[in-house]
Amino acid sequence: MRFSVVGNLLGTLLIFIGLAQIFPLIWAFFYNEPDLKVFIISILITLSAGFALRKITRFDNDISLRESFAFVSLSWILASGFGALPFYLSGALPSYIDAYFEAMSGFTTTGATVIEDIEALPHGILFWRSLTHWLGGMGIIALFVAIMPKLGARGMNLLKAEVPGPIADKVVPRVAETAKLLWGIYVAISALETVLLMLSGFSLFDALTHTFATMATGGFSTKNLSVGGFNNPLAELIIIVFMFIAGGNFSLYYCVAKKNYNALLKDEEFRFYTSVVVFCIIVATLYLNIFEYRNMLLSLRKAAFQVISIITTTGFTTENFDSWPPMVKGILFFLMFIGGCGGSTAGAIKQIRIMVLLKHGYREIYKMVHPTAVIPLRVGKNVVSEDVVTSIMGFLFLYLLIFAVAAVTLTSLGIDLISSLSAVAATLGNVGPGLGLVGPLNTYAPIPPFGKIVLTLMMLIGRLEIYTVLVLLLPEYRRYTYQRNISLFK
Amino acid sequence: MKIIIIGGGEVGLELAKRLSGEDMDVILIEQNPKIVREIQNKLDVMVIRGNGASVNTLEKAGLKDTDLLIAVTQIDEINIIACMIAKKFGVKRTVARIRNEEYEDGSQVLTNEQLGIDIIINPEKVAAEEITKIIRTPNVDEIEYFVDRRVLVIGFTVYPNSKIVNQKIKALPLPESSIIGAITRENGEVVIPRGEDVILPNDKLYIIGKKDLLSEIGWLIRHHTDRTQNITIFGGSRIGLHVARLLEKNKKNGFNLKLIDKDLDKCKDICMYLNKTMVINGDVTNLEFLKEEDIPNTDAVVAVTGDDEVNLLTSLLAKQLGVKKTISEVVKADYNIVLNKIGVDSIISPRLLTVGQIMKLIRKIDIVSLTILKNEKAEIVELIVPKNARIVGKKLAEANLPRGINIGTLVRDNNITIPNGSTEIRAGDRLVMFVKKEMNKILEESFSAKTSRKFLLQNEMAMER
Repeated sequence: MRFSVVGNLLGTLLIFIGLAQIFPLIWAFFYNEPDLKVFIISILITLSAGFALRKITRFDNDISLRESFAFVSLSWILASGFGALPFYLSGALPSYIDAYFEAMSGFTTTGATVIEDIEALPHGILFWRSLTHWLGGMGIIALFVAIMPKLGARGMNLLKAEVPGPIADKVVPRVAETAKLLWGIYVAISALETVLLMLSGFSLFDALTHTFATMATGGFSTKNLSVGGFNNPLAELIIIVFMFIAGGNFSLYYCVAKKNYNALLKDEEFRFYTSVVVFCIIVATLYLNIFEYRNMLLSLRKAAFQVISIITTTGFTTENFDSWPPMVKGILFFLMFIGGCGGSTAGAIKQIRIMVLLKHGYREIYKMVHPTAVIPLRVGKNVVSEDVVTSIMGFLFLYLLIFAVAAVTLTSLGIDLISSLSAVAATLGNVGPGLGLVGPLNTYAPIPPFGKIVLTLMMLIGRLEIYTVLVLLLPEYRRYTYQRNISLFK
Repeated sequence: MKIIIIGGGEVGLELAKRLSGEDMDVILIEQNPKIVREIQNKLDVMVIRGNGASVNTLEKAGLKDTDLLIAVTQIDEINIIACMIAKKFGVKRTVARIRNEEYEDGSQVLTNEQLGIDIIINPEKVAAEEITKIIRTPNVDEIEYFVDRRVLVIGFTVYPNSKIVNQKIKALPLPESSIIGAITRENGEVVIPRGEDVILPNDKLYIIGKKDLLSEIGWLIRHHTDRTQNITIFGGSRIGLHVARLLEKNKKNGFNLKLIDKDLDKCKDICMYLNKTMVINGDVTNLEFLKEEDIPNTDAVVAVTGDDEVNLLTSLLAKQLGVKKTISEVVKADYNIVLNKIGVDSIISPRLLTVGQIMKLIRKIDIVSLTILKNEKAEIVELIVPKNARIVGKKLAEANLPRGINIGTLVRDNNITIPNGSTEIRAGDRLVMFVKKEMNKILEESFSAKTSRKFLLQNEMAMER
């Protein structure tokens, strides 16, 4: 691996991150709050780091596969590292580990927070928290590929390493155009939500921050009680709809924009996603109606919001679901593993993978009776190749393995089992709030620093879908660091 | 510009690579899933798996708003059908690769227009023509004609013991109205030379001049022009057969032709098409066999077995045995960087020849012909200056053309001249120039017809009427 090439791209990325901090700076300036200075310092540090990195390295658009993975993983690590600066410098989070946790939680659209009193924060910091969601939602690498057309065919490798779901497809022939289109759709839907939220009575600031968190399926709010804090049923409805949209495949929305409505309606994954959501809402509503609220409409409102919020891995809350009956909690806990569709901004395992695994399971059972049958695995009209099926099974295994190891690690720090399990499920699935100690009314603050580091890693692994991060553990990446030194001296 | 390419073979892949490199939207249709995956990882194009001759697949690729369709599958019939469909859907230009000459000659019932094919390419035929050109002029590596064969570009290698090595360009006594258009160096670099540049050993010089250039610069080229009499072709591929037939037609020279192929059935088949060529069944990688067949006394060997490695190695082998001139077919681009190091004389690449033909279709300027130099880093472009191009009316010294663009000759009112700084470019001038690959954008800017929005609108309205 050539460090120089990766370093140069990382430098450019840092410049992006620095420039992105101008937006919260504007809010800080507008409200004339003390975080103004913080953002100026943070922007200067980020930009100078970026330019310095570019200075000592050189650009080469011929990036190998190995370097692509390293670049994508390191970008997210570095982006969070520098994205944490405002939290750290402003004193909102005096520990850098906490600040890093918060930034990673933002970029990976997890929405798990370590800040006890959100409402006490200045506007600039709040805006930056939400903006990290929005940037990370459609993907910082996707944005990078869209803006850097020089990457050419190699851009696809970068995009593949980041885009959620087992199959990344282009919507138009060029990678850069594809990335631009996806970002364009993302921006357009976001703009629509912002306008609707403002019509429902939100201020521009609240509308923007909540739009960012909804569209990215993030979950950071500006209120301690999350969306519930506004007590605005209309806004809840709007957010429900847009969370659901954000959990769908964005390339389908491109087809819809091109007036091909069938693409959306006939898409098997989207139908599966819709049925899972509807089914879970019905069950949860009935259950809540009997055991909790004894009011159908209220139950539906609470259940719909919470089910969609969790399945799309957003993590907004309108109610403390930790106090709900165990059955509903159980549903919510397992929804944390499912997530939205491939190609959405949601996290976790994804509908398409679950669907393929279900079909594969059925096929295996069928084969018990017809041992010689040749059964292709179809999603829609397309046959899923055996490579993809194997890769999905490997994914599920690694997902569960990592989940188990991390959960046990947390219990070793003295955290109770339910809290440990849900904390890992919620960070690995990029959901946000869990149960018990990390429930919707609590934060991740009480978890010991080592636990926070583990959970930060979970968020990264979850967002980049395991393989991209784990590939860095291959011995090759260590061996090539050695060779890199030689080539530097040449 | 949106382009559909059907077939992901060598030519299709090369076209996809170049076209996507020139900011075109390329959609490639290929049937083999393995190749599909490979291309997806390698190129920035959209790859669709399917049959290129099916309307469904083509519609999925968005045929309706396509500007150019290039059908280069292995099968002629698929290429023809694809073009027919494309024309029905209103694709502006269609190109089909057709190798079987029976589809091409005058006996066909349907004309190309009826089939919907605008341009037919036959890489093997073009390659064969190129090979016969080199055989007739054995001491040069490349030879290209421009402006109705009145302007000539010759590419030849300067051997280390040549007397012009280490001389400055301006000291060379070149004939009148000819200049060195470009030099490709051993390290792969392309130099657009100035008077002060020095010629190094193993440089390849591209000299442009009038049609009798070849006899005038005979002294520059290594040895006196030997007549090539005995020619052996290795391999009974399509190219081999074409070459043999073309050379047979040339009655004036009366070549002695031999064709060697490993496959007995193929030999038998080839015999049917050839009259004067001796067809031999044998293995060209067998040294004993080559000696027996009197290869050491052959003047030229054409290695076109269809296998790059065999072609290169047998050429070297023949060279070692004393053959004066070897011509090898090399399809893969990957070998480019070592070709001038290993000592084969001339390289023919059907892939490159085809690509040159098609690339001229997609440029914004009106190009008469386009030849890609062997190391693929520069092109020879022939064009007619349009009326409202930016460069019209300017003297060359004022036009601010970068060094990577070198105008070799200017043809105006049938006069062939070498332009200099004080030459004014006029509309209708026919130019032959050497252009480095990275200068294409600038070339387009300076030489494309300026079309204002108003002009475009008028055009569109006229079209609608």
